[in-house]
Amino acid sequence: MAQLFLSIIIITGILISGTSRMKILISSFAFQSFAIALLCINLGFSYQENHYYILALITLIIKVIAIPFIINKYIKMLKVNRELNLIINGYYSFILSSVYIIIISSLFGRSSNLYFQTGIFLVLIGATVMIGRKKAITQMFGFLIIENGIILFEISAVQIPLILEAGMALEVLILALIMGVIIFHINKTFDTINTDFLTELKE
Amino acid sequence: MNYYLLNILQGMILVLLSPMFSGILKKMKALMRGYKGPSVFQVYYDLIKLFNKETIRSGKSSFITEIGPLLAICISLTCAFMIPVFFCGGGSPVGNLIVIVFLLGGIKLLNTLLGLDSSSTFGGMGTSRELFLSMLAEPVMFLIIMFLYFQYGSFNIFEISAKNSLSISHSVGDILAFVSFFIVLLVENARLPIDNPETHLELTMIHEAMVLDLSGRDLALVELASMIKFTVFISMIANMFFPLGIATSLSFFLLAGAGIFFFAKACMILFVIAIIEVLIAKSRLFRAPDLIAVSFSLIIAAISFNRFIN
Repeated sequence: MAQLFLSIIIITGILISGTSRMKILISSFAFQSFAIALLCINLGFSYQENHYYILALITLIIKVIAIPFIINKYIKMLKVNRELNLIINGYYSFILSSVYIIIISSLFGRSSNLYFQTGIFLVLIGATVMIGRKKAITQMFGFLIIENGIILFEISAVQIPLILEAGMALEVLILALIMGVIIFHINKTFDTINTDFLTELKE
Repeated sequence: MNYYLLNILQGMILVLLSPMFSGILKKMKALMRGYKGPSVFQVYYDLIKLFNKETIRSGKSSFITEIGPLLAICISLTCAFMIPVFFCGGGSPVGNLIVIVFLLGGIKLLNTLLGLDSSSTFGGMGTSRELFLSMLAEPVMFLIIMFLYFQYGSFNIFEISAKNSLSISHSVGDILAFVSFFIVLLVENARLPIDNPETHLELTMIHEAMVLDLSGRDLALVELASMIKFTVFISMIANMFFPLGIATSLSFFLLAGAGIFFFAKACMILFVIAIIEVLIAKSRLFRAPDLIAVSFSLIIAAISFNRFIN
C-alpha cells in the first residue's frame, strides 16, 4: 500500500508544479496531504507506534480540512481562479520536475529510502512553485508543499519530537490564515495580488 | 501448436469485442449524465448499416481513398493478433512492442493520408493536429517501452505479461508508468482532454475531421479500425501493468477465469475514462503539450526510481 500512496504523492507533486488553475492546485494539495496521512497510518500499523497515528491525525485535520477550506474562502473573496504569465510556465515546470527526480534518484537512490527521496522532491517542487509564480497566493502554496516534504523526511528516518511536529503543523495553519489576511489587504491596496507590482510601494 | 491456436482465438475475441467496448463506454457516459443512452450493441448495428450503404468518393480523391480503409483495417487486425488478451503462456514469436507501436503508427499514417486525400479543408486541419499530437506522444510511448525493458528484460509483450503476473506487489515505478501510459492512451485515441469524440464541431475535432469525407463501407472500415486500436490499447494497459488473473497455462477454469478478469479490468478502465470524460471539458489544443509533459515526467520518474534503487 505504501507504494500506492507514495506514487499518489509523486503524481500530485508533478501536477502541482505546473498547473495554473487554483482549484486543481487546492484539490491536489488536499489529496496529497490525504495520501501522506494514509501513509502515516500505514507506517503506524506496520511499526506499532502511536506517534505515527498522531501525525496522521494532525495532517488530516489541518491540511486536508482546514487549510483547503481557508484558501477556498480567500479565493472566493479575491476572485482569482487561475494564474497567467508564470515565470516558469507549465510545460517547463513538468520537464523540470522530471529533471529533479533524475538528480534525486541518482544522488540518493542507493543510500536512502523512497520516503526520503519523495520528501526532497516535494521540497524542490515547493521551491519551484515559490520561485516560478507571480501571485502571492500561489507562492504560499510553495510553503505548504515544502512542509509536506518535511513530514516525509521525518517519517523516513529522522525522529522529530511530537511537540515540534505539532508546532510545525500549527505554524502552517497560521501561515495560511495570516497570508490570507495579508494577501487580502495587498489586493485592497494595489488592486492586484501580482507580486511584480509590489515595487510600486510609495509613501 | 495449441498455444498458437489460442493466440489466434484471443485475437478474434478481441476483434469481436471491440465495438462492444465502445458501446459500453457510451452507455456508461450516458448513465453518468442521467439519461438512458443507446444499447451496448448499437455500435454493431451502426457498423452493419454503414456496410450496407452506398460508398460515395470525392471526385478529387486518388487511389489512396480506395485502398486506405482496407489497409487500415488490415493493420489493426494484425495488431489485435499480436497482443495477449487473457492468455500469455508459452511465449509467442510475435508481440514485439516496438513492432506494435510501429503498426499503430501505421493506422495513424493511413488516417492522415485519407484526411489529406479528400482535399477538403477539414481533412488538412485534422491531419496537422493529429500529427502534432502524435509527434509529442510517440517519444513517451518509447520511454514506456524502455521502462518495461529495464523492468522485465524483454520487448515481447507476452513475456512482459507472464513475468509481471508473477509479481505480487507493484513498485512505485509500475504505478507511475501505468498513469503515464493511461495519458498516452487518452492522447493517441483522441479522447476527451485532447479531442471530444462526440462532437463534430469544425474547429476542435481531430479524428472526425479526417474521416469526414468518407462514407459507407470506407467509413465503417476506418471506424472499426480505430475501435480495434482503442481496444488494443486497453488490452495492452490491462496486461502490461496489472495482469492480475491472466492465464499462463492451459486449463479450462484458468482460461474462463482469465476471460472474466479481462472483461472486468477492461470495464474498470472504461469506467475511469468515462468519469474523466464526464468531468473534464476539452482543453485547448495548445494545452495538450502540458498533458504530455506530465506523462513524460511520470515515465522519467518511473525509470529513474526503478533503475537507481534496485
